[in-house]
Amino acid sequence: MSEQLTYFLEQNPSVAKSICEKSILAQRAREAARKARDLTRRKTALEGMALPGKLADCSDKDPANCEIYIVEGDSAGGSAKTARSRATQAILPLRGKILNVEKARLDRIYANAEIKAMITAFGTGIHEDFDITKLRYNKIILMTDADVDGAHISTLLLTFLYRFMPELIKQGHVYLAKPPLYKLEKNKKVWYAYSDEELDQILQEVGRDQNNKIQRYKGLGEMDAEQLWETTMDPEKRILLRVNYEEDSESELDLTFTTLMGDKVEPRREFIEENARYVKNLDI
Amino acid sequence: MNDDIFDNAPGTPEVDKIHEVDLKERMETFYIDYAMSVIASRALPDVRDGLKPVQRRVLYSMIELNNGPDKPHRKSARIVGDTMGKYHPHGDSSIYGALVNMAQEWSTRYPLVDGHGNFGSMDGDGAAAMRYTEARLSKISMELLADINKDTVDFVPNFDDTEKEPVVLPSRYPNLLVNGTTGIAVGMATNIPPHNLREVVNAVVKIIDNRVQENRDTTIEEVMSIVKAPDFPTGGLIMGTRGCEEAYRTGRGKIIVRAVTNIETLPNGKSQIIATELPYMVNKANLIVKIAELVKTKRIDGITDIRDESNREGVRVVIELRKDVNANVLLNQLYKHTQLQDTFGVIMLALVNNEPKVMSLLEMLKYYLKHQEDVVTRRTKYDLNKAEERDHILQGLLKALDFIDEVISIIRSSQTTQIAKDRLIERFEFSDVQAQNIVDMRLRALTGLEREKLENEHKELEIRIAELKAILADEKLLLGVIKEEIMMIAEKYGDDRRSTIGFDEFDISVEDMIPYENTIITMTSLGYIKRMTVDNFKSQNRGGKGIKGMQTIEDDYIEDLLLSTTHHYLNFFTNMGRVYRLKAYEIPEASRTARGTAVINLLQLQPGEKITAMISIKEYEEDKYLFMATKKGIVKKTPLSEYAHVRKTGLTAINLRDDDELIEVKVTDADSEIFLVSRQGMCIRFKETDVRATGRSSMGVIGMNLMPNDEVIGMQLRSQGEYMLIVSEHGLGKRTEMDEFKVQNRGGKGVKCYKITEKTGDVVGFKAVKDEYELMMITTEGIVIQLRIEDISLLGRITSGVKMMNLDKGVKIARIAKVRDRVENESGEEVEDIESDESDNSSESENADESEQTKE
Repeated sequence: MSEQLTYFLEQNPSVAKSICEKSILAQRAREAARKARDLTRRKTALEGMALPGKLADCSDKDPANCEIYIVEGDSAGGSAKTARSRATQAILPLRGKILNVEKARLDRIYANAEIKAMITAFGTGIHEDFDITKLRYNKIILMTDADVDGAHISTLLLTFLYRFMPELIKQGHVYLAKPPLYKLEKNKKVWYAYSDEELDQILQEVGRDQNNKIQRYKGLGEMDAEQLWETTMDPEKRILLRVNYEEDSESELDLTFTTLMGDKVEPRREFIEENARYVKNLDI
Repeated sequence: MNDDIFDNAPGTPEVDKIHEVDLKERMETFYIDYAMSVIASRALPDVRDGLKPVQRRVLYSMIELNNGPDKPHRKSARIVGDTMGKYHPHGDSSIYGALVNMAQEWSTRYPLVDGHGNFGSMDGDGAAAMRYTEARLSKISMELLADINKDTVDFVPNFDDTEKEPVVLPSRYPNLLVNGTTGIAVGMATNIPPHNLREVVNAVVKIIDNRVQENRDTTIEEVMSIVKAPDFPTGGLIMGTRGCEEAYRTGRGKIIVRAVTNIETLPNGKSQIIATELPYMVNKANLIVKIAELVKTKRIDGITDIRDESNREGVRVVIELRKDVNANVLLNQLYKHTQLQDTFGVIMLALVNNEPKVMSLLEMLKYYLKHQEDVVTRRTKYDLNKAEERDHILQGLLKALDFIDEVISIIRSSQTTQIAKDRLIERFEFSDVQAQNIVDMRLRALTGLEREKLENEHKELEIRIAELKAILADEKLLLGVIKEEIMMIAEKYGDDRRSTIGFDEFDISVEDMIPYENTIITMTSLGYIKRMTVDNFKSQNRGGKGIKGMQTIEDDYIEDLLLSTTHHYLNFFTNMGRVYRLKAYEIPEASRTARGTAVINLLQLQPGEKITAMISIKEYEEDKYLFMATKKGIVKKTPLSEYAHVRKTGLTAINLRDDDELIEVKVTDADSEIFLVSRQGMCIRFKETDVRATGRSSMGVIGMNLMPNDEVIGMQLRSQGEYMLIVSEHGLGKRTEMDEFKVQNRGGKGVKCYKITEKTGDVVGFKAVKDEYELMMITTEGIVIQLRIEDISLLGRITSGVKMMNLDKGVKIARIAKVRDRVENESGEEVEDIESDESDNSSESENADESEQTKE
């Protein structure tokens, strides 16, 4: 039997090759899945103790009141920690650009410190282990710089959330913070504008003249803690963008993620070429 | 899932202003913002000055810091800080990285920054921290920045509206092509190699000349005859211009660059390879690690030591070899497996009007020239403006001198300067500027010498103004100015080419890395093929029976064995009349006992296709032929040379009629005699010359006129033996003198060569043999028996022979093969024979006569 099989495989290399490839793929997937399970299991065993070191957690233990800010960069993370309301707002700073989960292999994803930090902080687990009742924060707020790198980091974070815990988005737990784009100072009074239109509107009200001091915010780090609280984090004043999607557009959405974040360059270039004219925010 | 577990939770302060956004829409907007920014203002250079924004900003900051080549160096941190604070609100590491890169003379062909201190090394060591190093602009950078203050380029506000920065530099030499660039954006990347300044300038001059002198466009060929290949700062040998040409024509191509090496022989007989120039962007330390790794894992054998002897005088990597190693073969292996040979994948992508575009060499040069026309036009306008302003003042002054007494009296009689000016304007129709200059005039202007000076200046200015106006009015003059200036730059900064241009023929095929060795190829009846070294037989097989040592699958046996060398072509003919080819070295080497590789893994055989003949050929000689026979008695003779180019997918060897099969192929010399034997015991002998040579895909001619239901079972040449050995289905056999058969014309029925009875069954095998051969018979049950030829009865033509093998009921002989007697003991000598025969390329006859032959 085994001899005949060997003979058959040697005579039919293409069959042999596909069998090998399939087996290797399956083996990798199994291995990765096992790792993923281990990761979530270990977390449940320790329950809340293995929280990432960088996380500045909030004191309130009722998830319904809590929110977590995922902040781009340590420099913004610092001021966010100072700015926050300690009772309900947790801060998790991430360093630089996080891993693109669309392109990376599973084992690399699970080995990535930032990804691990997020999974443990959220508490829900991922994929088939996902359990929304374990969610530790009602709101997951992505706070990135208002520049194009911030935009890129947002796409990377959204990809991670969409691919690993889509329920969070579906049930409306994922938000984008909206830091102001401009600060206008005039006669010791301060206005913040969240868009170009808003700036125009304010300028019309106060009048355009030499006394206007306009600052264009390039990064969260430019604001001190007080400003950050006032403009972006204070629940009474801030603006949040809730990310949602329609269930029936899922396949289309899937394609968007594959196109933008996947490993094939050609469709991405086509997308860029088609959409180049819609650019709003060009960073010089 | 419970959607609303949080909704009823108490105490949630619902004061947030929450706007709903769609995930898809958000992803797309974010992504396109990011992608377009990276494309238009980060990773890609402008076609006009060849700089990415960060580079341009560093250079502009440096000129603003007055940090030119004639000034002392300044701390890099100062430059980085200035660049970041004024123009580039991003990370300091990327700014310092750009500064360092522009200073490294192995990264940048004509460095734009003159660095002081540790700026890294070719080993990939980073530069010292920016607080240690110092820098200033290099001389050639001044040409990049020249005339920037003459309104030659547009300026835009910086990020916080406090400064102005140039959108492009005047770039008085074609920096994009000269220094090249590399960058990865989103969805696209650029990789432009550096070039020699003189060559690129000459190409620009050629375009100008064609326009000015002949009023015509320039072709890509003209440009490529001047710029033949890149010129890397690290030198190296460019392997042929074919890749370059493709890149220059289409904007994409692959350029192969090799290290410059030298093989030295040491007094103790050992040799060493010395690399003195490496391919561009190759990290020397990594290269050495890689070589060491290959040696450790035994993928390259023969290196005893590697030393990096590089110092400030240059690169020197020494690879010491074992005494018995062919340095050239080893060097080729290194080229193949390490970055001692590297490929530069050219993508000539740059921004044109802020949009990415892949361009040909000619397009790039034209965009550059367009930019220069722009710059020089704007500079000329600026100069003209200045000259006219000055001349205007001079005219006023000269006029005032003409009427000096009146002017003086007007001034003296005026209460204030303003009144004096007004009165002068009223009286002489001066402009305000002129009047101002007149009242500012010093008394010494009244001297005769001063007046003369003013007059001379006025005259000079008039000439200058006329010149400038002419330039603006005439495109050819403008191009002339550009040509003159750019040639001066080439003169001043140009240097000799560093990368040499070699030939395509040096392409290493695997071939150069394979030692020329004698080898034994075996093929089993189930199609397992392997290659063995001759040593195998010499050392391991003494006294044994070769065939028994090999592990075959049940019922399998060696059907064909030939002696060859690693560099011979093996031609595989199949029952379907096709031929496939391999070099002998392409067949995996295996031990004597190994089964080998199924041949289908090596050849792209079609379903149902089987190898029926295997022929080893060194060269496709003109006066040799391939002689083929089919089951249906068709024969064909075709010059060997027609089979010289066999594709991977095979080639038609003979055009077969329906359900005919190719059964045997032999190499002949136009002078052979052919024997064909049929299943029903007929044999025909005819001269090869009876068969006219025809083309490769012809059908052939009738060789033997067969009875219905009869078929040819074998073809042999007279030269292959003394006797004809015939074996029948039921194990009977005999040998007959070959010369008992008379030469006939081809196409006849032939004569009886075996008497077929119920006891014998049909003829299954026929071989031309000599006394010293052995015969091997294989039954349908897979039982093998080996007999000495001498022991087989020598009988007449129409006989049945004797029982040579006892067979059980229903079992028949499947095939026979002849084995040269005691091959294992003699093979060494035989191989030596081959070696001495090499000069006359007679390997195919060796294969036919000296090694064991087969095939039904």
